[in-house]
Amino acid sequence: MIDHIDDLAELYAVGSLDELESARVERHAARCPACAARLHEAESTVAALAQAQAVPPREAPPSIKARLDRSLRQTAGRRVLTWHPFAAAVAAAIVLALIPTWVAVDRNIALVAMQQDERALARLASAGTQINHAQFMSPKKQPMNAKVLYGPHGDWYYVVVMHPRPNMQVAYVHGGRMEMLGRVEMHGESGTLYLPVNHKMDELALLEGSTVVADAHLVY
Amino acid sequence: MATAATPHERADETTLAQAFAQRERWAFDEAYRRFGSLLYTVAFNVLHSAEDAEDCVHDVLVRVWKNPRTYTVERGSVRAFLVVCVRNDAISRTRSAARRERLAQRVGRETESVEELHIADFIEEQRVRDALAQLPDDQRAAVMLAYFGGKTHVEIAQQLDQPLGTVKSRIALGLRKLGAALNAGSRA
Repeated sequence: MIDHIDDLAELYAVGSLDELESARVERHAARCPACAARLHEAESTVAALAQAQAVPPREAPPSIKARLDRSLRQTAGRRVLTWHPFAAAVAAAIVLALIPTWVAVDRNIALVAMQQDERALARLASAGTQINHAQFMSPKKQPMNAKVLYGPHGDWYYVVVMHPRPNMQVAYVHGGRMEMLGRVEMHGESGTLYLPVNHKMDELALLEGSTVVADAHLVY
Repeated sequence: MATAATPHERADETTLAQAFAQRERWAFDEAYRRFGSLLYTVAFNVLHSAEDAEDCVHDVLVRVWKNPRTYTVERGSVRAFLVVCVRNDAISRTRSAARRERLAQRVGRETESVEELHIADFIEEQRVRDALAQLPDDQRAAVMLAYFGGKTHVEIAQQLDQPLGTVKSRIALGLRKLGAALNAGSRA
């Protein structure tokens, strides 16, 4: 967690942070009223610029509201599990059952891994059927024993690696750069990394030390 | 015959903000009724495509609504919050290489330098143009490259050949001064 967002408030509001930095600012502001207030000042200024740039405004097509109503109905109607520790096995089973193409991954090992990570499991269980997944591929385009599950709106990511090597990390690849997201946490024969990152990432890399051993391309 | 406004349509900004933070569905509908066209225009001004702008507004509003912690009343007006969410999402869409290429074809060229960014080309409102013009040159250049150029502070630092910290400070200070000037103008 960053201490306070300081100048990042203005940089966020004006749109000059990259997606990862923006996500960090949003997460911090959600917990820090002082920074939320500073962000409000900056956002008000940008909104004034945007309003002045939007003269005359374009009328929003009615199809947007129709799509929003459909999307929100689906959200409201989705079954949401209230999280409780002993629901872990049930939730993990639901998640695994939702992924018929969970190839190259031992389901029992995955189950054990997911039971170690309650936060991720709670998120996955409440996601219902709204789960995307992508396979990590080696540089020689061979499938690795690793997958990423992620929300269709890019609001969470969950990396599961079977038989991981020590010091494995996950990075976000964009604009020719890599940004480290975190280390894979070991759970016996498997490793996981849960990322409650609220923005869409379209390429993730799996690294051993500083060497890229696989990457995954995510579609939305 | 004019129809009388509903209680929701009459809700003031504070009431709307509180209801939006508590995820009351009427607040979502009312926010869209009030700001939908503004949000769509903001997205269109960045993406230059009706289809992409529609996707952007839809995706952002669903994401905000599905994540209750995203908006708190301390964030202030729902309007400013949503405008920035939509703008930032639209900018991030343009930053993917393929979209950048398509966008360049659509608008004919990409903005390359601050000299190409003329305030009057973008801003219709005189008070905003005046407030921008009052900024010191270095701060105005940094704010304009960030806001109108859609560039990250790292790209701006490279383009202006200035240290990253200097560019960040110029953007932050410039935007705060701009906000102060706009507030002073609205009180005058």
